[in-house]
Amino acid sequence: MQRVRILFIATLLILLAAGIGSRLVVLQGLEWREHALRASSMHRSIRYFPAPRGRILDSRGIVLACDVPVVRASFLLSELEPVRWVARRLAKKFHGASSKFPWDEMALWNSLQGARSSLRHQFGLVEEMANHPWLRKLDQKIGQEIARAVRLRPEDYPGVVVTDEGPDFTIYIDPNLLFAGEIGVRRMERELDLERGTLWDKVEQAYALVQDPERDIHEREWIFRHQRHPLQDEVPAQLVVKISTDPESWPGIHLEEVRNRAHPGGSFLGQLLGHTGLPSQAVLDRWEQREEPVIDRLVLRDIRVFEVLQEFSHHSADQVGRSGLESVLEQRLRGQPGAEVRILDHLRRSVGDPLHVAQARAGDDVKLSVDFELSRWCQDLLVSRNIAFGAVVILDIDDGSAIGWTSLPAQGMEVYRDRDLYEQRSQSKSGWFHDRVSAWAIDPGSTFKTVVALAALQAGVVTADEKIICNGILDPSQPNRNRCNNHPRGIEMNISTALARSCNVFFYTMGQRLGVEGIVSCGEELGLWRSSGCGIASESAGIRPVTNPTGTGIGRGFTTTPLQMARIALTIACRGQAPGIRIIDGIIGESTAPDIDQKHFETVIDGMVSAVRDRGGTAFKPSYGLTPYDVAVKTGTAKRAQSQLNDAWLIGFAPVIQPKVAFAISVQQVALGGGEACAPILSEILNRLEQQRGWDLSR
Amino acid sequence: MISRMQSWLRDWKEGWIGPALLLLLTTGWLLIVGTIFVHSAADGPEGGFPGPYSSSHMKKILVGLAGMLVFSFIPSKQFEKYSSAFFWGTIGLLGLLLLWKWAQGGVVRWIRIGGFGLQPSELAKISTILLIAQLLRNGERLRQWKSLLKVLAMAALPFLMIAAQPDLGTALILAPTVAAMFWVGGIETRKFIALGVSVLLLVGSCGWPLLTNYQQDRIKTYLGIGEVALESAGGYQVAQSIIAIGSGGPTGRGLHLGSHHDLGYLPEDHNDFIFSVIGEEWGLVGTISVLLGFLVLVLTMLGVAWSCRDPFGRLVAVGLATQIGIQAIINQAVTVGLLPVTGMPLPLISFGGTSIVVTLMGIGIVISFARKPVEVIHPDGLQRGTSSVIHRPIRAQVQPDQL
Repeated sequence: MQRVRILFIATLLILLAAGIGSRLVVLQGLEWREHALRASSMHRSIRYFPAPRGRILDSRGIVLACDVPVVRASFLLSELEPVRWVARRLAKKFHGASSKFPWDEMALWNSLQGARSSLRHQFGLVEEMANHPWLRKLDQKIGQEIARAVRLRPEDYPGVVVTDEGPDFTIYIDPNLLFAGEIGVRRMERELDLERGTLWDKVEQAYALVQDPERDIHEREWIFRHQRHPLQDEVPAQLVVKISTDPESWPGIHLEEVRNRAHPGGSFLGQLLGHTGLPSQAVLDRWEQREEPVIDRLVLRDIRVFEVLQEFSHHSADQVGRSGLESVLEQRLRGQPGAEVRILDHLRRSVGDPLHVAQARAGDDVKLSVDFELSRWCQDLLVSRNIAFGAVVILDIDDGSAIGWTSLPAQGMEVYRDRDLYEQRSQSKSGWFHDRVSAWAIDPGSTFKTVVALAALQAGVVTADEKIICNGILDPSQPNRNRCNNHPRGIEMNISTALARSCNVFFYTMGQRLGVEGIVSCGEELGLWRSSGCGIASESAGIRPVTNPTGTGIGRGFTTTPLQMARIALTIACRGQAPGIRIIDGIIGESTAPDIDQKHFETVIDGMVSAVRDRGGTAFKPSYGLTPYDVAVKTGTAKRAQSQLNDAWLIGFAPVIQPKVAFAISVQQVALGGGEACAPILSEILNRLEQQRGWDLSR
Repeated sequence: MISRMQSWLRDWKEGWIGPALLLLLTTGWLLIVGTIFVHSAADGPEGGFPGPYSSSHMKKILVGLAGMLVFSFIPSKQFEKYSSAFFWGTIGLLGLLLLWKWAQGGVVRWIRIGGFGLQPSELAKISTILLIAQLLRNGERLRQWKSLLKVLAMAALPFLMIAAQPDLGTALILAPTVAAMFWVGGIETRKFIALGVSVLLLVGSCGWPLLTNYQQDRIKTYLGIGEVALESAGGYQVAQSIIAIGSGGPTGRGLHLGSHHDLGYLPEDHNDFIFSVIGEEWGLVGTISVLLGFLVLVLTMLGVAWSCRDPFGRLVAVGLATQIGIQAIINQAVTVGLLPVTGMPLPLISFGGTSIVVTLMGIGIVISFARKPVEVIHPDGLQRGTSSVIHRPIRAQVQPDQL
């Protein structure tokens, strides 16, 4: 019985095998022509789209950075031309069949390349090229064999025509089919008005990569079969229409919608916003380490796999933040690439509508606290006063938001698209690549006296009433050192008056009494020489003083940024309890709460108010335009080394009681002092704030 | 010592003519075809032969051939003796994988030791056959429902553990294998039918929700039910596979000239869909020759089962023949669009590690039975017998004092 049952199993297996065999006979014996044609016609393919990046908006929703779609042309080597396939297939037919043509694939390939060279001068110029005789005097045997093969499978030998010419055969090639890729690329060069060879050289370079024996075989295969090589970054609309409506004339050339990053405000806030670019090798390596796939470098046929990977994946044409907020906010701004499944013909031309679409998902929009209009107005104001280098930062007292942010010189993404300009600016010492508000630290000059005053009062080295007489020199025995030219000589003044008149001698003395450590300690409590924590990666900490307490007392010998000085103004305006600085939605900087008695802040504020209101104050002059405003300021003038020019400063807040706004203005490389250079600017800014925001900042 | 050596040499030389040789030849043919097409599909002609894939494939073949040779010398008694230990060892490895899966999540099918990867589910296929053959060798356990169900439960254990990995394709191959062994083991026809119907009903009612979405989609696509995206159901692969096979025509497009798979339209072309590459490049001649190769291999194994007087050996040969035969038929049926995509490789041909090694070891076991068809004392004291397959006398290994 067991043998019968074994026989039964054997019969069952034979029947199943017969079923498959009959299916194979149908497919390969009866229907094979149909399938062969389908093999050279329709296919299903997944196309990937780069991830749209989120926008960066100002506080009122004005777009500061966004994606701009552009059409890019790329090419696939394997689809560009059928020359390789034809050479390989013909080599199989020639192999050992003819003593006259003992050619292998490489020899035939080289021969076809020779024919290409002889015809190249017509590519892209002649619309319809005539057939070109390639191999003559083929003997009957091989000629008939090739003719039969071409007749049997014409789709395998595109551009090959075999003719019987009596005693022998001749193979003609149709350059329009066989070299269709180069013809298309050359035509594109002509359409784009490019120098001949500009685009084809890119193809040649890709071929060279494939033929480089030093490269890994899989990498070469990838480059040949799957990698889309960029051909032209931005294809004009006219050419897009031509290629889309007549894809047969442009085989192997793909049009892809990619996204460029644009800053609609031009170079305004350029250094703060930073720039983006295609992923560098370092970025690609980082993604690989984090196992985040570059989706268009995988060979996926199943959209389900893509949907699983979409969240973690990238596209090789994704814009990646490289500096500034574009880099800091990368995780929030980056989107997810998309994909669509399409029916393609044998040249991967899309047929009909996409079957399935997995939409690319845009990254999050990020809102900044900055008011574009106000900041832009400030920039225009500086430019109108012929100021080339400077910064303005305006903080809202309520929540520490930076509502005004201006940096000169402004530089946007244009510098990354112009190699010469980039080289020129990167070698310049003008700090083109730095945001002057947060990343450009300079001597704070006399604005630092506010910090020294607070430190001295808190340390008890001076009282609010103690008076010191200034004779213009700290030490009469050294008349050329530690001078004070900020007010008439022989005046007796307390700390408030000293702040109002910016008396150097008073603060030389304070510096000596406090020592560097005492000043640094207080400065650090107020937020100097460290990041504000508001999320700007490129923020400079500045250089803290390490020696010379006398010079340190008047803000000489170390550096701070305008943002840090604005934070000092904010802390004074808040009488010691200041909110953290905000610029990016959702990121709050470190709040400031120094261990300083509130009455000391009032003493300092008295001095800052007197600077505007009292005759002899550094910002008092009616021409400065500050007297109508209820404002407290401290000016500063830092002499630039080896130069006759100054860096002029002004920090302060308004109104004095229940302040609404704190600010720091830094005008660099000017011949004027702090009051002359900055106070008129502040006057106009306060006027603008009153008009724009309806705030009452007047006395 | 010399006489022992001479005996060993005599033993080594004997039994190679006949089914063992046929098994070796068909296996060799399929292995050669596999190597050629792994090279064509995965390496391509540019890098010359062997490329990285084909050399890796050949290394695994060498390991498998060595295992096959060793197994072909081991007496069937030894397989029977250690079948339980082998089975439970494999179950232990599967258990380890499941523990790892619960701890880490995801799909876990491999145990990696150094640079070597081991797929316990492949080992389970062979160890289950050996254990079931041992349990059913005297046919007693198939007479009563209770004992029959116990044997079935033993077979279900690796099935469920493999399905939980999840690797339903590999698990499913155990079902026809065990059914064939039950059938040849002597189960009553009505019990067999009742059991089959019960299993089908159980699978039909409870199995569907246990399938993952993509497995359900593949079946829906095959049956043409509902609106299932072809991409998510393997429909694209099958469509491309049919185009590739069909475009091969009667004689194929020539080795390394299959543009359809070469241009990347055919996924898994060196693995589950290697038969499509054979069809495209060697045409009907190639596919039929591979189909015949499998048929000859499987029928020869069934012939060994036919001639084997040891119930254990017979059941093992039937189990292995069914397993290889059904796996090959399912793989080929998928590539020509007769079955939904299962993710099952083509035995001996597809690029693979543990699968090819274990299949060759299984063939080695059958060769061992083919070389020594009678090794046991027949209950009726049979000393001589004939095989209807090889038509030659079979020498009994029975000692006179055992009669």
